[in-house]
Amino acid sequence: MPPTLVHAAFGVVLGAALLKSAYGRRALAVVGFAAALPDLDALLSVLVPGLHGAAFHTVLWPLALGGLLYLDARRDSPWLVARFGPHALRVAAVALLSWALAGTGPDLFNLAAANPIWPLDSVFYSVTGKLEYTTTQGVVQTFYNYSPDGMYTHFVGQRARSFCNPNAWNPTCVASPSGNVERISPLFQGGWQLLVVLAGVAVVAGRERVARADDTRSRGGER
Amino acid sequence: MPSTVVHVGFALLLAAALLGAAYDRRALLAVAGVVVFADLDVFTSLVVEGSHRAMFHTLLVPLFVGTYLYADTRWREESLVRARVGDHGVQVAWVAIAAFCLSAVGLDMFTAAGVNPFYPLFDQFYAFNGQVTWSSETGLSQTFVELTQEPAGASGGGGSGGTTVDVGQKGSSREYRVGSGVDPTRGKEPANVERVFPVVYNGWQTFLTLAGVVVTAVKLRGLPAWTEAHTTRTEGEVPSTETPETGDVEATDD
Repeated sequence: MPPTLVHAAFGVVLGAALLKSAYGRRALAVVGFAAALPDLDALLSVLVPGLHGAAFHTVLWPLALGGLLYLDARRDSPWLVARFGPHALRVAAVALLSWALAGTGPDLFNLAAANPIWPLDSVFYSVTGKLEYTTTQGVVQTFYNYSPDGMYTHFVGQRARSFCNPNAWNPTCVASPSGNVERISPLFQGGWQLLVVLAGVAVVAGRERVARADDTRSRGGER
Repeated sequence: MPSTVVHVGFALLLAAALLGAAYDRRALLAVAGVVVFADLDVFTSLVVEGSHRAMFHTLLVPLFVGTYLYADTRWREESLVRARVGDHGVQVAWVAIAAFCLSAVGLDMFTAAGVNPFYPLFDQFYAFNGQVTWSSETGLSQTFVELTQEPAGASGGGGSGGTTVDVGQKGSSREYRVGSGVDPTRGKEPANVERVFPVVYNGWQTFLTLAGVVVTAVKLRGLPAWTEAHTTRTEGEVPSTETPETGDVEATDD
């Protein structure tokens, strides 16, 4: 799976894009953390090996929490607002979106796979492929494959039933890994991930200036 | 080698993050246009051999435009650019420059095929690609920058004791070229040559593109009204004058 730092960078970009007036450093940190949060299920894989990529990567979490958030928001004085201030609802909504989009999304579109509806189903997905147009073959795509006689009639990247993501916490995918096994934790798996993190840093720096400029401008307009 | 589609997707994401109150359809069109422009050097490659990923993928363009924009908006008494396109226009210009560097040039530079970032001043293609991995046995290792110690006496211009530094140099436009559907091979192509026009390769390019589209859709439609800021009457503070959230109003050219 893309490293946690890459998820957080995506989350920060998402936060900068969607927080609007709720933008602030703390709000941005919350949204970035929400994108990194799913990767914490790697810790759970020490107990149950197959949980990484599933337990917190399932979009049922953000969906369920989104439902609770909606119910809270409909009340006259939402608890979240009373507890964290007037912008809490927006920050929470964007954080949940960040969880699903920046936390689960990159893993789903990656060979390291995620299970987006765990525990309803146990299948992990790796949605990868290519889409191109060539003058000799026309449109070529490998994302979806139809084979009535194959293992999957509609293949969109389902992984084997017993799929397990090895990670630094549980590198061997067995319930109790032995002590002296090599633990590997990728930080960047390609140039593009470094670029996304750089973009995240640039966005944090840039968004701060934008927020300040917009603020002074709107105040100047009011007076 | 990400296609123009992926470049635009990533640029939409960056634009959404950085445009602030200047965000609207026209601004998005401008940013996307600038990013598409970079890939138009597939056509210059037909005339100047090997100039795809070089002619318009050079960072000298944003450097000059950025310097001019900075000088104009900061040092001139009355900014000509601001007088013409307004505060929001200047903001859009800065974001377009950022999107050009990060998406149009950046995505190509940080993937396998590379770009020629200082063309034509310094004609060298770079593909800054690699991995950084931590392992409990070997520690931190990276493949972005490869240092090779050459045996003494071997020819090599490396100033520091025959060490060559490989940051993904691919060669000059005479030695290296990046093919495209418009100009697949060096020189004149046979009539029946296969021309490949990529849309998305790999999951991550798909994700980047989809993320750009989703964020743009969410931002243009606006998040649901129930997520708007609440005026906190419960806290007994003086109601702030900032609560009518001016920033939340959909950007208009005021």
